[in-house]
Amino acid sequence: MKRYTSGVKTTSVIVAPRAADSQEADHEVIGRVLQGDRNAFGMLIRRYSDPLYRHALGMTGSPDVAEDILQASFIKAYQHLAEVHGRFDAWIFRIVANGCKDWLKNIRRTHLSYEEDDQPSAFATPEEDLDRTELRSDLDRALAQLAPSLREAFVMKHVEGRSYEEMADLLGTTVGALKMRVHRAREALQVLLEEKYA
Amino acid sequence: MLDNLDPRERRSEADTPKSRESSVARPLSDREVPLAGDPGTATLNAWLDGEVPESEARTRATARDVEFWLRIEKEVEVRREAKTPVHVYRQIMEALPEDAPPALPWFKRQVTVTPMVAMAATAGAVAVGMAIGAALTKGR
Repeated sequence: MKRYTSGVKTTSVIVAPRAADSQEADHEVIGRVLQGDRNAFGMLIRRYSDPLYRHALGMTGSPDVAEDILQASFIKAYQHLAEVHGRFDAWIFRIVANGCKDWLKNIRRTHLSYEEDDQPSAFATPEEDLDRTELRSDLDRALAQLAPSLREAFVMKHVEGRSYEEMADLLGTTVGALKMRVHRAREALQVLLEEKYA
Repeated sequence: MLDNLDPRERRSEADTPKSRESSVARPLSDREVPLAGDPGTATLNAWLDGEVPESEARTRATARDVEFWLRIEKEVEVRREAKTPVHVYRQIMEALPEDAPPALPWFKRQVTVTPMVAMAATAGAVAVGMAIGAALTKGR
């Protein structure tokens, strides 16, 4: 199917390595770790931490919390590494995604802070930068009001840039169901933000 | 069976709020039913999903909606480039247990059932069954 350039990157720009040879490599690395090569685990962290961090950041809205979830998830993965039978990237994604959902269940947030975020500004003027900071906070607040499943779908599609097929693969659901979640999330976000930004 | 006394359950479809505002007011559930959206919304979603070009979205959806999503996209594009802070890698490595990950306990191990294994297991089960049967018969 022809893909058009749209407002949203629809190709998987942040996709963990999925080729058969890279899966073999994961398997080999896991074998080394299980035999006592603790440092080999660092290879898996380097390989997969960025997309997982982006997921946790998108779901929680807090860099600190995202770091904590990432750390806890990798430690849990290390302790249960012998249980990996399929793809490591899908397995560790589920651990992180569950960590995010657990955090969302346990906390009631009224305010999200990105103040510690030191991402460089992509905007030319100070006015644009200020404007963007406001949009960033408002988007975080709006995302926080979505049901976790809608937020997860929106973050995976828009922030992580994953395809619906990849999302379905990772979440164990259908493409149709995920499209519906993303569409609902967009609808809700537009309602929440349009008064100020549309 | 308990009666459902929730008045919302008895609403007819005509009473169901359909405006965008009302869809936010009520809990956002995860129903997997098609959205009763207008063609403009459908085109907008198709564009955001990369299925139609921006020009088509601009002709069918309102310019306001298209501009809104372009603005949101500009914001999420920055997030898409986010990298794991460097110190996190070190923190994780330091927090890992010194010992190698524990081996899988025998009851969690995967068992490959070949025809030979299946036949042996069946024969074993039959032998055990016969032994129990014989013991019970002898006991009487």
